[in-house]
Amino acid sequence: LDAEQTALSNVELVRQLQAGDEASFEALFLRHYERVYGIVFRLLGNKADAEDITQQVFLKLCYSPERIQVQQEGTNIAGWLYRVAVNEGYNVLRSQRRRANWHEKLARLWPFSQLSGDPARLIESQDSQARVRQILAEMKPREAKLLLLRHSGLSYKELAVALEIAPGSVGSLLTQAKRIFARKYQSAFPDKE
Amino acid sequence: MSLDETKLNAYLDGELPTQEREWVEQHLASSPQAQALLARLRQEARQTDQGLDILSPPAELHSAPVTALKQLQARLNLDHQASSALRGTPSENKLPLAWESPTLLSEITNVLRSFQIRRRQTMKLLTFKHRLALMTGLSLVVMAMAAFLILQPNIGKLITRLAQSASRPETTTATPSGVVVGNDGQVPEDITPVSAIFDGKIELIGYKLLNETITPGNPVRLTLYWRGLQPIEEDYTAFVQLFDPEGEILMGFDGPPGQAPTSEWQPYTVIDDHHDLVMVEGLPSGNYSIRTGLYKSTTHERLSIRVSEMPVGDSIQLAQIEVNDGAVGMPAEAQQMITTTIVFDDAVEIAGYQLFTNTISAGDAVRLKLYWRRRPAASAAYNSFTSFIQLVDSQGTVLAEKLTPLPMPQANLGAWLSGQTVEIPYILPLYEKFPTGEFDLLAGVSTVAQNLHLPIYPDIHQAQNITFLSRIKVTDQISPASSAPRKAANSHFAYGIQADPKGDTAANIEHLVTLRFDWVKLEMSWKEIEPRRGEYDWAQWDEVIGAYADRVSDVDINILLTISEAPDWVRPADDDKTVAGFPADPAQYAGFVAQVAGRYKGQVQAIEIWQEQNVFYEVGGQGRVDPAAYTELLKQAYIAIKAVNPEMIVVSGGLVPTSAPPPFAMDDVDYLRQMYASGAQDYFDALGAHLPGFANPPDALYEGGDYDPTRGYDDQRSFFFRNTAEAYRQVLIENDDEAKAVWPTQFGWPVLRNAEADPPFTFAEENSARDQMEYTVRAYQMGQAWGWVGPMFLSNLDYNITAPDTQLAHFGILDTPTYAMLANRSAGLRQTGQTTQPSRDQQSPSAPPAPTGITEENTGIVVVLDISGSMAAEDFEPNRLGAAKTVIQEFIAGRQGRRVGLVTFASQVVGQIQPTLDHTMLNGAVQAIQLSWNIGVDSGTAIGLGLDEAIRMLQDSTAQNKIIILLTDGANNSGNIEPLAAAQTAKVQGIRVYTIGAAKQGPARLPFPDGRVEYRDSEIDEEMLKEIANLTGGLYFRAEDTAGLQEIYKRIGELEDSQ
Repeated sequence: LDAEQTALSNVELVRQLQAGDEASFEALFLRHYERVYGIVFRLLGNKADAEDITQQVFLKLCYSPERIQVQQEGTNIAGWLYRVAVNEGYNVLRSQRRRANWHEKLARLWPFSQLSGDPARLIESQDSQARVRQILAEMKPREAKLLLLRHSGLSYKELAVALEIAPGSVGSLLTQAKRIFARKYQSAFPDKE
Repeated sequence: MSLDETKLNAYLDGELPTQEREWVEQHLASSPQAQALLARLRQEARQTDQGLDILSPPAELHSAPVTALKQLQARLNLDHQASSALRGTPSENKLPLAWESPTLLSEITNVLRSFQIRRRQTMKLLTFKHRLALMTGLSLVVMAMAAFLILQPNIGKLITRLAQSASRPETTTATPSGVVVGNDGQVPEDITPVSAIFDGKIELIGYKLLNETITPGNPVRLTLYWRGLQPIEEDYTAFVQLFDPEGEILMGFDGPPGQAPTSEWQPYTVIDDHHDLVMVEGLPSGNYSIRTGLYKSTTHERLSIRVSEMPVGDSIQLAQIEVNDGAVGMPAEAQQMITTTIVFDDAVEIAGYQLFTNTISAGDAVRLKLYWRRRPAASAAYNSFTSFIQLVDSQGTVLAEKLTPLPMPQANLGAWLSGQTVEIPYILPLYEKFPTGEFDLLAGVSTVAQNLHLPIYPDIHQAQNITFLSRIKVTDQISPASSAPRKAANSHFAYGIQADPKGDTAANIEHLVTLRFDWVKLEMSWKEIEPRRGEYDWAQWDEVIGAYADRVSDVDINILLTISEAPDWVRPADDDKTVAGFPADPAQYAGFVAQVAGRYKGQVQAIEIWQEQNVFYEVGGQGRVDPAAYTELLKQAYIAIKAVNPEMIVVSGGLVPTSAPPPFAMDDVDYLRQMYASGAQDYFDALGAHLPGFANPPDALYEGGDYDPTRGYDDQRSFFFRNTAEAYRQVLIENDDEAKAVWPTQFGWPVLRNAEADPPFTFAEENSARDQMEYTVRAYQMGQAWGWVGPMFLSNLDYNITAPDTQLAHFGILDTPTYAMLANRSAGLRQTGQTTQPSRDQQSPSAPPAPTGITEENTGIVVVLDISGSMAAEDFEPNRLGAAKTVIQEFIAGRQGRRVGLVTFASQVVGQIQPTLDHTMLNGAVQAIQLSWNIGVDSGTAIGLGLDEAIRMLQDSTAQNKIIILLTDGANNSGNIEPLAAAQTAKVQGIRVYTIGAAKQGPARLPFPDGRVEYRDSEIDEEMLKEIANLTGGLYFRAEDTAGLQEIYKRIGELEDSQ
C-alpha cells in the first residue's frame, strides 16, 4: 500500500470504499484488524475462532460498505466495526454449549492428547481464562461488552458509537461495570488480593 | 459540578478534558473522602484490568494483519465464485477473482458433494462449523465452503446448480447415488407416493428405492421423503425395518428422520431420509419387506398412521425387495406370529405370540415370544407384573415354568405406556429326562405385590386366569445335534457387551437373554489366576465360564476373553510394576493363553490378546510402547492357541485412540501400521478396536480444527468413534487384509454416575442418559450397516453396580434407559395389528399438485416475507409478523385459481413453497411461519437472497404475469446477493416486484425471546425498496399499521387483477 492511502482518514477511506475502491478496503482492514481481532480474541480465547470471526466482521464491511454512515468524524467506521465485532463474538460465545473447566481439559489425558509446553501451566492458564469468561457471562451483556471494548482500547466516544449508548452514560455505566467485575473477580481469584 | 464517582472514574480513565481534570485534582487535594473513593475506584480498575488481561491475545496467537488480509481475500474469492455460480451469471464483483477456471469450479463442486455426504452424519457438530476455520491451504477451500454452505438452507439445490453450471447444463435430476437430494421443497417425480399422515403432524410423502432386485451383500438404497405439516414441538424417531420372507425382523434402524430433529423442521420443507439397508450374504431368496414408522423419542410411543383418512396402524409397509441369490433357502424355524387378544383384568393383554417349533426334544427348550400390550385402562395399582409360561401335562401338573417380569416403570423412561406393546422372549428349558408326549403351553400374568394371578377379562369363566397357547410335543433327546460346534462367525455383526466376571453372573446371563445379545466380553487377569509360578486358581473362572457357556443347550452366549496383566514374577526386572506390563518372554504369555484356550475349548469362542498396548500403562511404563514387541507376543500367542484349539478366534488387542506423544503412547493408527510392518498379519483373525465416543455422537466425523474450544475432546480424530473405526478399516484395506473384521472390543459413552468421579471422566457430565441411549443404539446400527464389523462389545453391563467408584461405572448400562432401549430394540417395532399397504398409484390428498407442462393460469405470484427477529416489533397488532401473516392469508384467499408461492427469509432463506394452486396447504404454511431468532440477538435480513429465491421460482414459469411481493422491515444486512442485483435479474425475467416497508415511524417496542425489550427505530432502507420497485415496474408502499398493510395488499391484488 502506498503511503498516500495510509495517510487518508477513515472518512475518506469509507467514501472511497463505497465508491467501489478495493484498495481502501485493504487500508481499512490493515488499520483496524488488530483491534477487531483483539476484541474477538478476548471473547473467544482461541486463535482459529477469533480469526474466523474477525474475517466475518470485515466481510460485512466488504459486502455492504453503504451501511457505514459517513460523518465528519472518523469514529463511525471504527465504532461500527467494533460493534459488529463484539456482537459477532458474543453470539459465538453464547452459542457455546458449555463453559470450559479444567476437568474437561484434563479429559485430554484420557486418552492422552496433544499438550504442548508444560501441561500444568497450560491448564492453569485455561482455567483462569475460563473463570474470567464465566464472570463476564454472569454480567449483563452490555456491561460485559463495555468492559471488553474498553480493555481493547476504545475511548468513551468510540464506546458510545460501538454500543449505541448515549455518550453521556458511558462513564457511569463503565464505573458500574468495573465495580461488578471487580467484586466477582475477587471471589473468583481469591489468591490475587 | 459535583465530584461523583463517574467523574472520578473518567478522570482515572484519562477521559476528562484538561479543564475538568484540573478541577478534579484540586478537589481531590482537599477532600479525604474523594481520595478514599478514588482509591477504591483505582482498586476496582486494577482488578478489572488484571482480570481482562488474562483474556488478551498472546503475541504468538496474532497473525500479521497482512497475512490475515490475504486469507480474507482468498475467502472472498471463494464466496464470490460460489455465488456467481449460484446465479449462473458472470461475476460483477468489485474484487478480482483469482480462479475462473471450470476445473476449479468442479473441484469445489466435489468438495461440496463430499461435504453434503458428511452433512448427513454430522448435523450436531456442524452447528459449530461456521466459526471453525484454520484458513490455510486446502482446508481453506473446505472450510470456507462449509461456512458458506451453513448460510444456505437449500444446499442440495445449490449443489445441483453448481454441478449444472460446472459441467452439465441440461441435467436436472439428482445423481443416482442419492447424495444430491436437497431440502428444497421439491420431491423427485419418480418417487413411490405413500402420503401417510402421522398423528396429523408429519407426512411420509413417499419413498424411492434405487434397486428393487439386489444381491446379498449389497445395500438396498432407500430414500424416504418426509415433511412436517405444522411446527413440531417434539422430537420423533423414525424406524426403518427389514423383514425376511417369514416376517422376522432382520434389521432395524432408529434415528431422527433425515438426521434432523423433527423439532427443527420447518413446515412443508421436504426432508429426505436416506438409508442403506445392508443385506448380509447367505439370506434365503424371497420377498423381504421394508416397514417404517415414527415414535416419540421420549416415550417410545408410536404415532398412529392414516392414509386417506383411514387408520392403518403404527407402521407402514413400503416396499418388497426380492432377494435373488440362487441359493437354497434355509428352512424357517419360527412359526408365523399369531395375533390374538387375551385381556388380563383390563390391565395387560397378550396381543400375539410366536412359537419357535412345537416339537421339542428333551434337554432342549421351548422358545416363545409373547407380545404384551398395556391396556389403556390399566390402573396405577397394577404397576408391576410377572408373566409366566408353563408346560402342563394332561393331569394339570406343571412340569416346567418360566417367570419373566414385564417392564417395570423406569425412573428415567416413564412407565410401560398404555397401548404400548412389548416383546418378551421366553426360554423354557426341559430337563434331559423330561417325559415325552404332548403338553399344553399356558401363559398368564401375576402381580408382584399381591402374588395374584390376574383373571382373564372379560370372560364368563370366572376362574380362568391362565390362557392356552399351544400344544407342545416333547420327543426323546437327539444327542449329537446339541453338541455341534457353536456358530461364531468372525466377520458377522453381532451384539455384545462387557460384563464383570466378578459380578452376578446368573443375573447377567438373564440380562443377555433379555437383551438378546450373542456375545459377552470378560476381562481375565493372568496375575490373578497365576499369582505365583505354577499356582493356578481356576475355580472362579470355571464357574463363570461354565455358567455362560452351558446354561441352555440351544441358546448361544459366545464368550470373548480379554487376557492381559502379567504377574510380576514373569515381568522384566526393570519395568514399572505400578502399571501393567508384558512378560519378559512372550512365550510365557503364549503358554498361559494356550492353557485357557484348551481348558475352555467349546466354551470360549474368542480371545483378545492384551489390550491398549499402545499406551505406557499396559506395557510396563513410559518409553516401552513397542509395536514390534507386541507383534511378537501376538504371534506366539496365536500359534500356541491354534495348536490346542484351531477354532478359537484370536483378536488383536484393542488399541487406545490417542495422539499422546511418546513416552506415554503411540498413535493407534501408526501403531497398527507398524504391527503390519512387523509381520502381524497372519497372527490374528480379527482386529480388536477400542472406540470410545467421549461426548461426541457416533456418526460425528472429525474433519480438522477445534469444533468448540471449551470442550477438550473434539479437536482430534481420536475422540471420534467413527473416525477411529474407519481409520482401522483403512489400514486393513491398505494391507489387503479387509477380509478381517473389526471387532470393537470396547465402545461406549459414559454418563457421570457420581460427583467424585476421576477428573478425567467428568466429560461424562456432558452425556445425558438419553445421549448414551441414542449414541449406543446408533453405534450398533452403524457397525451393522458397515458390514465389516464383527461383534461389538459395549462397555459395559454391570460395572456401575459392581464397581461404582471406578471409571467403568460411568459406562454401565444396568438400570438405565440404554438398557431398556436395547432390550426393546425390536420389541416396539413388532407389528401386532393389521396394516394396510397404501396403493401406490394413490394420489396424496395433500401433496402439492404435480407440476404440469401446460398451465392455463397466466399469473404466478410469490410472496416474500421477512421473518427476522425485528418482525416481532409491536407497532403492528399483534406484531409485524402476525399482521403480515393475516394480511397475506387474506391476499391468498382472493387469488383463487392463481398460483401463489412463498419465500421466508431472515439472514438466509428459511422456507419456500413453489407457486401452487393448493391454497389450503399454502395457508397452513403461512399460519405456521415463525420468527427466526439468531441466538438471542436480532437476526440478519437477507433481502437479496429472499428476492433471488422468488425469482428462481418464477423464472421457469410460463405465466404471462409474474409478480413478487416483498415485505420487510429492515435494510439488507446479510447474504451475499445484492438486492438491486436481484432486482436487475427480475427485470430481465419480466418479473414485477412490489416492495412493502412495514414499520411505524419512530421507535417500536421489540421483545426478545429471552425477555429483554428494546425500543428500536425502523431500519427500512426505503431508497433501496423504491429502486427495486422502479427497476422492475412495481411499486413501493410503506405500511405503518395493520390497516395500511391490508390496504396495500388489496391494492396490489387489484392492480394485478386488472392486468
